[in-house]
Amino acid sequence: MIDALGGLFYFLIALGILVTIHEFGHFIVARACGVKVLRFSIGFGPILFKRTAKNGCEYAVSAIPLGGYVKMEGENEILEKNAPLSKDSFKAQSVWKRALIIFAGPFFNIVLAVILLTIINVNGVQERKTIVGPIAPNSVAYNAGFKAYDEIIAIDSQAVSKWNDIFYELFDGFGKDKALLIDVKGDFGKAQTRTLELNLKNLTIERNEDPINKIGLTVCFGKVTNQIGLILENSPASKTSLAVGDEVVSINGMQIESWYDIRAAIEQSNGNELSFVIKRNGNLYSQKVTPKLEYDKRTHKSLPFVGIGAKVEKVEGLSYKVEYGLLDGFFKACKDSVAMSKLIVTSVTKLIDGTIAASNISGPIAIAKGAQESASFGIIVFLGFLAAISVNLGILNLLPIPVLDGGQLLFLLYEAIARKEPTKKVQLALTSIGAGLLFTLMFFAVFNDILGLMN
Amino acid sequence: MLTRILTAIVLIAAVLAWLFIADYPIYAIGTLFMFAVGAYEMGPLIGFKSKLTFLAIATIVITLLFVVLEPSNFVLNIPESAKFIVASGLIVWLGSIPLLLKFPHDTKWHDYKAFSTVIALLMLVPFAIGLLILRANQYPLDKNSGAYLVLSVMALVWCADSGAYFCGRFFGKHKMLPNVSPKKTLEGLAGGIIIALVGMFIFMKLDFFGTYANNPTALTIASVATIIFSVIGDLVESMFKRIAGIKDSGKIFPGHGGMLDRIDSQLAAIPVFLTVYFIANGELF
Repeated sequence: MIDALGGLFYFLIALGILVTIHEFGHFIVARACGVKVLRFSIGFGPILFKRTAKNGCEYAVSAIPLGGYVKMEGENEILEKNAPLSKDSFKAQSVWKRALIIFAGPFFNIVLAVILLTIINVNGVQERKTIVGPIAPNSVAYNAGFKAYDEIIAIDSQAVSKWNDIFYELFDGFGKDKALLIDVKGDFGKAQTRTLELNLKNLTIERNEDPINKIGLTVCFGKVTNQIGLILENSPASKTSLAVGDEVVSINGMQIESWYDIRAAIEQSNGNELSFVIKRNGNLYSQKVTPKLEYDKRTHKSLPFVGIGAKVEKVEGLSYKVEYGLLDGFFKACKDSVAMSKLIVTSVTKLIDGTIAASNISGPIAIAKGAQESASFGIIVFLGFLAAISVNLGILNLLPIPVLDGGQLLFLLYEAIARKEPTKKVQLALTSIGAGLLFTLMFFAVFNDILGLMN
Repeated sequence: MLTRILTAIVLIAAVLAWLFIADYPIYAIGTLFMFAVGAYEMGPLIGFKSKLTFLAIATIVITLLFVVLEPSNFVLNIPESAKFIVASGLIVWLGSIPLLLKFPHDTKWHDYKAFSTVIALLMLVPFAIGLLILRANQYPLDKNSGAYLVLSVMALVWCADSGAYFCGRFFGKHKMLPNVSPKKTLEGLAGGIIIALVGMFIFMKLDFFGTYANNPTALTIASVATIIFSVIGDLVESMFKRIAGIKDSGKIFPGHGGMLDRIDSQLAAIPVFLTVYFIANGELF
């Protein structure tokens, strides 16, 4: 309940900021072009509160907080033929000025993202070396020849130095016929370079799936040993003599090579007794453990559970903090915004071709959840979240769907080429289609959100 | 089992509210809801990798039809074009008969996405428009008249379904189309038709058919056709699911599968009822 309230609170803050910036973009450019603005509203629907300025512009807060609008003189009026347009109306402006006014909204969202990202960069970014942890057996990465502790140095001959770069490149490769060529250096980057072929054609990303994990890769947080690093309280393991520091040598006679073997042995046990052989102080001991079947919310299956975790040995220099100067931070913020924008466009195309499952589409509830979760990690993480949503809002608004800013620009493009407006009938039909598509999408986004909450 | 029963109760309550409490615009939104969820589930059945592709196509088509037909005027007058759109559904329900008989052979048509897309649209669009036409019957005079009409046509299918289920269970011997639906028998089909005819007779006595009862001959012919074609609707969805290798069309109704699993028979029943009635009553062709 408190989570839900917190979610709502941060959701309203996030949305309030983003909507205000967006509409402010339209507003300020419209003013600069000499268009009379009748109303600047945060939220739409019934007006809750308003104040009228001296120049006649109403500043309002309206009931439905999922958006906002700027109402300009003569924007939607159906004019009699040859009726005079007042000079300060939207329609009286040249196509270019009108396009500028429309474009300013999304543009301001992207500007906001750049500013927020600059703040984050100047504050300092925690980076992690591009070294992979244990590889999931029989995964795509495993079959491509990845080994634990490989350092990824290049993808398709393009050098990569951050996990973000790797994420973007790998994500782009999903569903593509052509395999990615990945250069890696084994043993924490000390061994020779190998080139691996990674084909991601047949992979589909379902809801809540991380593309990197889907491939079978993990981020290296240290050396994962076969030693027990923790034992959960009240777990089957806690009722045995297994202790932190024990090295698992074999389970049911199977030699253990990596922690994945331990996990596999437990998963395949079906809840039947497992006999562990462990090494403690150089001596071998045996210990029987009966896994408990526990319901797994994500897979909706009962999975055997023992309650032990691997000991991870620290590796120096895996994680480092980078602080940027103002200018460098700004340049990086610009680059990041471009990369995020590209990611959004790629995501949309992958959603359409089915490489990303439709269940990934999230609506306001998921955004509220994200807002709350990110806020719980502190202001900087929340700013990062805000920047990401802002870029999303900006770019998605530029999609050429009538109702959205991009659709308006499309009409203006037609006007610039054909030297006349699309007829009212065409505009009505296209706008209805746009509204229909968005409404349907919104409906499924909320539907997915609710399914996500129930799981 | 409990989920199944609870879902059924919620579902029945929702359908009754949709029919008897909602006014015409809300009813239309409910219809669009069924249409959209059906379209969402249809994508994989016709071989699209993404569920969004067909959903987007279906949304564009129905939106354009709403702009052109203005269903809000159906309560005053049903335009000729709307009747033709409903009738277009028969292309699929008649055309699918040879495909059903040949199944599992000759399924190559399913590989042509454009063809499957048109078929899927002809399954969903006439159904949605048909529901709007039925509900609009006598609306200005009696708000609930159309609701009884929709309920009656749907109930014909439910009668046929349950009649077929029980008769098939007790007398079923000869398989109807084992390759498409292994459980259906000819005895069940006969039983279903008989029970549905009894149902039709009761609904007529109760005066549930609105102005459609003005021509009893046309109404009877239309009802019989509806009962027969509802089975075909069921079979066609089964065929799609078999070709696509999908068991449940979706999971929107816990314990009852997807929207399409619930409305497969109705997809055929609604357009067939209207079209056959219009033709028999001399309103079309």
